[in-house]
Amino acid sequence: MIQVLYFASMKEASGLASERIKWQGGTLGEVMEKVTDLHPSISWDGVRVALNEEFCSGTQEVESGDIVAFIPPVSGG
Amino acid sequence: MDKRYEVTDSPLDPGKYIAMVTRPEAGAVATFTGHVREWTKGRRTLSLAYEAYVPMAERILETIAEEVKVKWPEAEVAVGHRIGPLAISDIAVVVAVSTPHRHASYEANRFIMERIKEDVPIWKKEIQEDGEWWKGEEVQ
Repeated sequence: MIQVLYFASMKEASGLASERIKWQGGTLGEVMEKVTDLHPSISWDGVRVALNEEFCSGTQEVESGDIVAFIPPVSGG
Repeated sequence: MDKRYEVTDSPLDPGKYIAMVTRPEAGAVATFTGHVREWTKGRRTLSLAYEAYVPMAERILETIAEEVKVKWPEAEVAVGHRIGPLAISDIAVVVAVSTPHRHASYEANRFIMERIKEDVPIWKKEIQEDGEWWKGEEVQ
């Protein structure tokens, strides 16, 4: 299992703040494909991905127990 | 103990962050406070709501402070960012930087705000008279 976190517009599009997804291994890009299947209305424009609280590229391997967070364009300050 | 790099749903007191960076070697403390603006390009904001990925946001604030220490080794930094519902003129962010002399404190303070806007996972929702949306995703 992995935990996936959604924020801001992605939280509204998915209707969820977080969910657990069965995971046999694969890359962050594959997590994004899985999430697209689960929530087709999510927009990926400008979205970055964090693995265990660090920004990562889509080729990064994800293991069971990891936390994947999708970071839509930030607007702090 | 007070956190130097903090995301909180409580109102921000700039004095707390100024106190954290005040020290005998520092002749300058530059403090920036960002406030909720009512009017933007003729559109009226009623209120804002901020959301954050809090643990990652606090980690990245700490990383930004480390970047500051590389560029301005004598700087000390404290940052607070508020989340949750905010009203007009409420303080959304406080950045306090102390350095021995003033120029570096201004520069480092500006650098921190620019970096916050690039990388810290915090999101602002604008609640206006004709609807609400996440900043950066406006339909103009």
